[in-house]
Amino acid sequence: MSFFDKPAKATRLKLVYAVWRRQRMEVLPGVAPVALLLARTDDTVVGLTDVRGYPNGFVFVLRVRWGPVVDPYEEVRWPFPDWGTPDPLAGDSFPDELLRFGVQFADGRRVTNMDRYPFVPEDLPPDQPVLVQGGGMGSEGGRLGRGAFWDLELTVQPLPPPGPLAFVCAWPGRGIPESRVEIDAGPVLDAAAAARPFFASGVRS
Amino acid sequence: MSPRELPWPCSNVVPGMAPLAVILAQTKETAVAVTGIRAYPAGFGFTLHLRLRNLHPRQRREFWPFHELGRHRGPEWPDEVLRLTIEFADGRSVTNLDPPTVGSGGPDPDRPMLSSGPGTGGGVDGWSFDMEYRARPLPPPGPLAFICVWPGRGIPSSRAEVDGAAVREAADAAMTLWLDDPYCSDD
Repeated sequence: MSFFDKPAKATRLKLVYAVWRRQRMEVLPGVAPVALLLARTDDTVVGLTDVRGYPNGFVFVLRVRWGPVVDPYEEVRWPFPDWGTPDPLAGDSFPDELLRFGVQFADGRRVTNMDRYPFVPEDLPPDQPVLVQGGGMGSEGGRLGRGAFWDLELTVQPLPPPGPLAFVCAWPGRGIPESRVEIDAGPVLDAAAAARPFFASGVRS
Repeated sequence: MSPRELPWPCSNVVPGMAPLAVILAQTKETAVAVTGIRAYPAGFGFTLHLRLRNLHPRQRREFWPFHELGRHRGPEWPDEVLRLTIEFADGRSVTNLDPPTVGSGGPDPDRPMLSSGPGTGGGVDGWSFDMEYRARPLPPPGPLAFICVWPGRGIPSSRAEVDGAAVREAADAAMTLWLDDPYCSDD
């Protein structure tokens, strides 16, 4: 069975997003020395850098790169699923052109970018990890022939337990089979432990 | 395409990471911090974080603490603009207020360069700005200093240092994805 076969009915997105915004305003994160290549083909790379630890989760930047394009007039679409669109849980097919991405903790808990669904009851177990998409930037390449690239910030809450922390991706439309890279969660937890309030008076409630 | 027009760092490179998270300056109402560092073969990038409390309602109107995209066009920068300096161990330095140094011949190795963007900012009950910066070239081994001065927020010259060797080591781990990319400069 593929890692992406059973998307979870999630998430407490509104609550999670509010927590994340507050943390980002109030807390200077620690930074983990992590730079990964999750997958690579002749013309596509999925990398991960900028891992920052917060008290309630961690943030990273997914770096997607395409080599110089063969057909400069090829129409290139945003390669990440949008807010609940498509929604595999509602029977939507998940196009091969979209990157599948997920994170798995050492105790088996996992979250993927196919789980997100903004308007569901907030009945998710509090320890169920959630993935929040933040800001992103990129370029579709285009007529200059330049390769496309995207940098997308993602947040995972809560923090992982000690042990292996897996980043998993698959991208059928770019010829990338399910690919898994594991790191030790220790540096992420160390970064989270190093996070501290911006102000000496602490975090406002 | 001339070197001036080529983007840097090129998207063709996945940076190495030299962990840094330091508060440069802190008052009751203002915090200035730096995180990063993303290290590339020819330079490095970092994020400047500004957090403000109790911004006066009059200040909130069109408040923008960076000189980039600001409205000011006079000979002297107003106090509300943050001054940021990057200083290498050998004495070379660059500030965010310096004019660009790239010419048609590419970067001048004797004059570090600092460029910015993208950035985000704004707020309701507090103000938050995060700005990306990129500096070239790589620092030499020894102290790499981040120095800020912000007269309008009561922050005198404040300094934090990291080891330039750590940035260079991270740069060695940066991954260039495709060689001979015509849309990337050699540096």
